[in-house]
Amino acid sequence: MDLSEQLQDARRGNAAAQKALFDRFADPMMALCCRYLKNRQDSEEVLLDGFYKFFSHLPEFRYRGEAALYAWLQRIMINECLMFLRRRHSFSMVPEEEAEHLPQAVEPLADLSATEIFGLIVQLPVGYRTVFNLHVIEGMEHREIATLLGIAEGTSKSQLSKARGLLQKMLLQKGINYAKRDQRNTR
Amino acid sequence: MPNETNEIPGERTGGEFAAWRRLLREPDALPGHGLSDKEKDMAWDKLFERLNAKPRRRIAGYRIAAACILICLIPAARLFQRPAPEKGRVAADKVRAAAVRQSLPAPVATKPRASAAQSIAPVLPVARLAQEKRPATVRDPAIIRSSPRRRAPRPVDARCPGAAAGPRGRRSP
Repeated sequence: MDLSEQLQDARRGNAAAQKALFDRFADPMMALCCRYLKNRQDSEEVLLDGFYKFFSHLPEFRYRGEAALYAWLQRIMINECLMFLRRRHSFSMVPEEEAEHLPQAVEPLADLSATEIFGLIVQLPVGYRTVFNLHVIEGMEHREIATLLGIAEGTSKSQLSKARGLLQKMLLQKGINYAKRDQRNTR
Repeated sequence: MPNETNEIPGERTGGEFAAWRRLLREPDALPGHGLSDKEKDMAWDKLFERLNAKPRRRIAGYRIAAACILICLIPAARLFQRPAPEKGRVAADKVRAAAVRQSLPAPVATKPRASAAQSIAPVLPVARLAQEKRPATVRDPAIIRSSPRRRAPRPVDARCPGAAAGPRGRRSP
């Protein structure tokens, strides 16, 4: 069945169509939630909340292709994750001036696998991880992140800087030499 | 899934982590982090239950909220309305007294409307006697007001002068 037809049926409350949509998008959305929340149980809870919102607001959504639908669902999940984090945690944000002493511009390696990258991101503290995910993976500007999290723009920048520093440390602990890899990549 | 038709928002930021972004934004980038079939079915059951149960719960919630508001409002309304009836009663008494004063007979006595008994009085002496013996009663002002004939002139009974004063005399301090 075509995705647009599935959406139409799901809008009318057809359970089979809704189930098909859930099966189709549950895995990538679960991975996204895990990237923000670390804990699998929490991620599952947020996933259900997100899908509940998705199906509730489906009549308002105008279908413009699968990518748009995916992006919309992703946005819903990100918002749900942030709401969950706000409810459960207080973001430990570092002051702006502290970030200046941190190493800037780590050169992340292109040949790390997705699972390795995921493992590194998940190890970051909640504040760093959230900002890193929003800026680096979702591609949001610091201004947007600041508005979304209710923090200063500088705080968002400093969190990202800290996250980079920590990632660098973690990669070094793994025995990954950036310089060599960099040279190999540029060759 | 992000494809050639739609712009990926992540492209706006620097390319420092472009490789990571590309990897992690792939829908099937992390196959091990998805849900198993069993977990998916269980999750779907929960979601389906929620999707079907939520509206009813919301309506019930609204009803409970409305009931709570009513429960709180009724004593509050009574509390605020308690002094009002006394004021209202005084005002009503004033209005009633004014109405009674207006309805009092004019100084010139007029002939009362002939009743059935009066009309047959000359014919039947028994009826005449009954009319003469009928005691004068003090009429209730409320009855006077509600009566369609309250503006009709009444005869002043000489035997009961207090009746002319009407309810004014009965008003309690």
